[in-house]
Amino acid sequence: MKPAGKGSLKNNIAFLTPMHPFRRRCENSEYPAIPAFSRLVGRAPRRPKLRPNLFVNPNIRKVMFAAACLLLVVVLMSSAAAHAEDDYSGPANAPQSVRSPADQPAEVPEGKAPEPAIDDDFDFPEEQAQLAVVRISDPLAPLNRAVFKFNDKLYFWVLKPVAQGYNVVFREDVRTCIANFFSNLLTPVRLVNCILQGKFKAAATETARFFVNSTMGVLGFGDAGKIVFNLEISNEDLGQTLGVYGLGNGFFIVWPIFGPSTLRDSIGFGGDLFVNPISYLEPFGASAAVGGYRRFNDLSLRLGEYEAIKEAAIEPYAAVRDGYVQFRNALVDK
Amino acid sequence: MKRILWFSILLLVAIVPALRAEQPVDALKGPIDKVIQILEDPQYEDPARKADQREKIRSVASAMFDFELIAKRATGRYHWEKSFTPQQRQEFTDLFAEFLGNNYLTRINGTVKGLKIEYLDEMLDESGKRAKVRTKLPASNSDVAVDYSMRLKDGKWKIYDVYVEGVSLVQNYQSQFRSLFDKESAAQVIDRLKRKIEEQKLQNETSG
Repeated sequence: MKPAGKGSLKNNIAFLTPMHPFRRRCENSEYPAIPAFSRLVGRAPRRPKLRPNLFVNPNIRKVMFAAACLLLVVVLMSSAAAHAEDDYSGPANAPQSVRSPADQPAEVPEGKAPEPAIDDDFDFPEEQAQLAVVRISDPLAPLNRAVFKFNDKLYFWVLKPVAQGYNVVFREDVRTCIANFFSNLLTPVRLVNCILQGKFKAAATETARFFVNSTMGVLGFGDAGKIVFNLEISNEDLGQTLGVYGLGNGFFIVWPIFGPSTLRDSIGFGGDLFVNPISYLEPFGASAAVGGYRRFNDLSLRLGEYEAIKEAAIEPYAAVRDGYVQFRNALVDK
Repeated sequence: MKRILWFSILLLVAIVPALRAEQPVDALKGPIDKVIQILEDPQYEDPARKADQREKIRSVASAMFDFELIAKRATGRYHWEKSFTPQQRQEFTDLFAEFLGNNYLTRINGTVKGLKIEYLDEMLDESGKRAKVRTKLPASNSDVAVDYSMRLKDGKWKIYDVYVEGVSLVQNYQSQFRSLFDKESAAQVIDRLKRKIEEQKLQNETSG
């Protein structure tokens, strides 16, 4: 705490509160100079600030940080989109696979007249658009691969054994109820994103689901909305919303613990925290613990999926990268 | 005269569906139903006959797929034409077919019991030679969308790509092979595939 400066007491305090007698004396011009570090000044009670300071209020700081991030991302992504073609993963790709009609003539070997491909097994026109989207730049590849390896070990050495123990204690239906409870709690995230994407029917369904599940479903533990009224959940998030708005994937990121993501989806994840009730738990540790538990419980219901992906893959990292991007693109298109 | 006219119309109505070429959905539904039937057949409960069952499913299922086209598209034009020799192409196609077959068998073994697949719709492209069939697998928490891309070849519809929740299998393998070819030669990639098949065999033996 900074001790009050020379003139500050005189300017601030005047008559607003009954003060220490010493302060009232300050108003008197007979005592113009008060030693700044006098014992009495230090003891004077400090008033709370009446006006919130725009730059000190933590909430506003959060919003401004998010806005700055968003701006940064838009800039990055527009440049990433421009370089996506050559960034992908090395030089061998440049000449191949996804070909737009524009560069096709260039690939015809010299000396031969350009002819339409006789064997067109590789180019099915209806799939070209999709193929072009699926390529994603991966400038962080070495780091991503390291984190991918870390997550792999984390899963097999820690999370899976712990989840197996957890599964012995809690039956599957209990864990499903817990997952339902959290899913119901996260309704705001889905609802806000439904609205942001203009999916008003889905938004209405989400609202109805929330009321039905919170009452009939007993605080959301039962998915009465699905079972009784056949109200389907719509898993929308901010990453998808940004995608619907036309923002590209950016580049691929593998986060420790959280796993595969893209720049856009990472931003979306951060943005969704603002409407995520769990993130408003105090202190931060509690909120992280609850959020972590939710994810762990979800994982306990999906044991074996990662193994299946890995078994079916010849190059697991590339398989997960491509699978994630394809899956997210499909969600955005939906 | 009128009677003859009516008769011929009736005949036409009866004959037209029979003349119509096989539809993509039928080409899909027949073998899949047969696979499910074999899986649920009580005569294969005996562990000694499991290998029989596997082989039978494999022969039914592999007739549904156009493995040559799958292998081609999974490799991508560049590496198929530039990296592989003709013998390697053949070897790769056979190995990849075996690899995919093993995957398919391990996947369906545990999950198909009492499965009711919903066939949603089929879409043909303008040429009438390619089609997409959308299906839905009901699962406990949420349904899984499985779409099949099919192509008409020699009068038969065969699958050349499978989309699970919008993720194309062929494209996923293409991105894997592309990433492998960046660092390895064609022979190394084929060796890798062989090792993977060995792994699958080991796993199949240990799991029963």
